[in-house]
Amino acid sequence: MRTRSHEPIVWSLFGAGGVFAALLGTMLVLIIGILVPMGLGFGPDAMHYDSLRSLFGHPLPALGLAVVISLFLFHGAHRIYHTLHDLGIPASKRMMLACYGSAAAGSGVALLLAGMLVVF
Amino acid sequence: MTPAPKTYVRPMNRWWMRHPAYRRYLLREGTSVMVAAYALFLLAGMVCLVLGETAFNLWRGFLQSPVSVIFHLAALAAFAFHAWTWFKVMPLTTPPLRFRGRPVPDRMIFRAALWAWGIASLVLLVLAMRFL
Repeated sequence: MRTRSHEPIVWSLFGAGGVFAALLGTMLVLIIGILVPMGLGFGPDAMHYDSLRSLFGHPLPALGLAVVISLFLFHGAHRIYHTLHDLGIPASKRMMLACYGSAAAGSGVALLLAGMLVVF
Repeated sequence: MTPAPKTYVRPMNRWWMRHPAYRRYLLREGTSVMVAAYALFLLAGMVCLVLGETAFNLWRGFLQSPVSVIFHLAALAAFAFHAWTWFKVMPLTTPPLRFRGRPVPDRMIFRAALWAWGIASLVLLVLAMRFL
């Protein structure tokens, strides 16, 4: 039986995560960490519990957030896995499991939480 | 059995000290640590949001702290550097693009990506100001 490489799958997830991080990451961090806390362009009630619960009670924003988190995690896992190899920690089956496994676990949690935000 | 010949193996210790390009490469790859860390930070926010108002106010209150501001400034630099380098290598990662039979120049792809970055950021900002 021919063994197939897992590389196309993880590269796609890495690439998609890279595109999301590049296009949206900067503004996401700027809004959440700088503009909202400092009240620049946002009122003092921005990002409060009630407004976020109602926003993420809709399936599309909840799923969107979970997908962004998941792709960021896979992007990080892939690059960390390969860069650790460059830094002298060999790319082994165990390292692969640790990197992509934790990304998959985090994605599962994110999707579960998104579901809970929509249902409850 | 003859012993294995002693071949020269180039030492790789501290290879990043040898050339500025190697350090830029490590810095670029290092942004992924911040991308993953930020995903975990958002995930923590999601957990708090599910747990309830008290838990979420802790997460929301942390945003107000100096530690959070420093973390976010570092994250901002990492994401911006990631975006810049990601778009820089885009001509190498996209399939060969053609426009009216001619190959699209690399700097056009880079410029289009920068425009996409700006437009996506603006759209996200407008949506956030409308819905947050």
